[in-house]
Amino acid sequence: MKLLGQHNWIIHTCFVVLGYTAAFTAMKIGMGHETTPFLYACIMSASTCVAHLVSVVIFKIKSRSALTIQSSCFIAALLIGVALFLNNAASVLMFFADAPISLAMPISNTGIVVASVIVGVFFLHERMTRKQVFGLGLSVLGIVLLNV
Amino acid sequence: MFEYLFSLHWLIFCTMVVVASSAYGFIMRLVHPKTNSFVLGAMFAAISGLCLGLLTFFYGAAGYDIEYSKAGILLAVTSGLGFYIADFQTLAMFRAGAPLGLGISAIRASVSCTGVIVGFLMLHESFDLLKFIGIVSASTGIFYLMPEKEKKVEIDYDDNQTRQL
Repeated sequence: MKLLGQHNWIIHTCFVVLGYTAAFTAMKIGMGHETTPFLYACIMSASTCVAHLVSVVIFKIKSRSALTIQSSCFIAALLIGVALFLNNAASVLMFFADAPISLAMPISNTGIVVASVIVGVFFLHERMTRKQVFGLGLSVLGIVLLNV
Repeated sequence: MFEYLFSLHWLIFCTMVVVASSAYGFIMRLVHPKTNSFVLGAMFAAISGLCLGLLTFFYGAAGYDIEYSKAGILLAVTSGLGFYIADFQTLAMFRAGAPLGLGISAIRASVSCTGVIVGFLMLHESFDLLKFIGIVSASTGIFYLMPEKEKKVEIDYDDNQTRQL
């Protein structure tokens, strides 16, 4: 518990995993219900947007303070929005192109982990201990085995 | 346009997924700490939804059938709510000091594990030895990825020496 107190990002990671698991489970079931994947992704993004807007309204009512939006927020939103769109569109197109799931999923998941580590180390100057590098290797192996 | 897109090799789209997903994590990590996560989330989900809406419109205009069902729409909304939780918690995770490499690795490995477990328990998907080894490997990996407990250092001001506790 002391470890959680020092690094409370682990608690947030658990919630991220919970959110993604719920989203991917619903997506997996939803793909069997004759809905065009592009439309499915569009409804998904729209409902995410509505949920965020509801949270903004609740936040505004509770805090009763003015909501300031920095200009950097617009740039970040634009970049993240485009990245999300490309991610969703490419995921849909990947399966239209008859990608073998047992190959496409390990490649994409491993690629994301490796790319994030490279970006973190080289651009954000993050450091990893030997133990963490070993853990990273085991995680990548696990991801490959789970997705094959 | 769609004929051309459908003719491309799946590895091109796989590379796009890797680049776009890594860019998403990278930009989320760089977001200003004072930015309201819900406002940011609403803005980027709106941009993404708008682009996907346009893509769906052009897909329909190109003569392809756009199918939908009540259950499909409900499940899409459920997925959207799952991504809503994941989005603002990702921002909170980075604000709490998570490194990009470790955070994303822990998420991907954990989601792969929970996906297989949920698939086996709820969707009656297969579970073999390979997947069991995968879960053990990923779980052990996540354990090693966790940050180490910071060592306390006591400073003895009299003779300026430090020692670890």
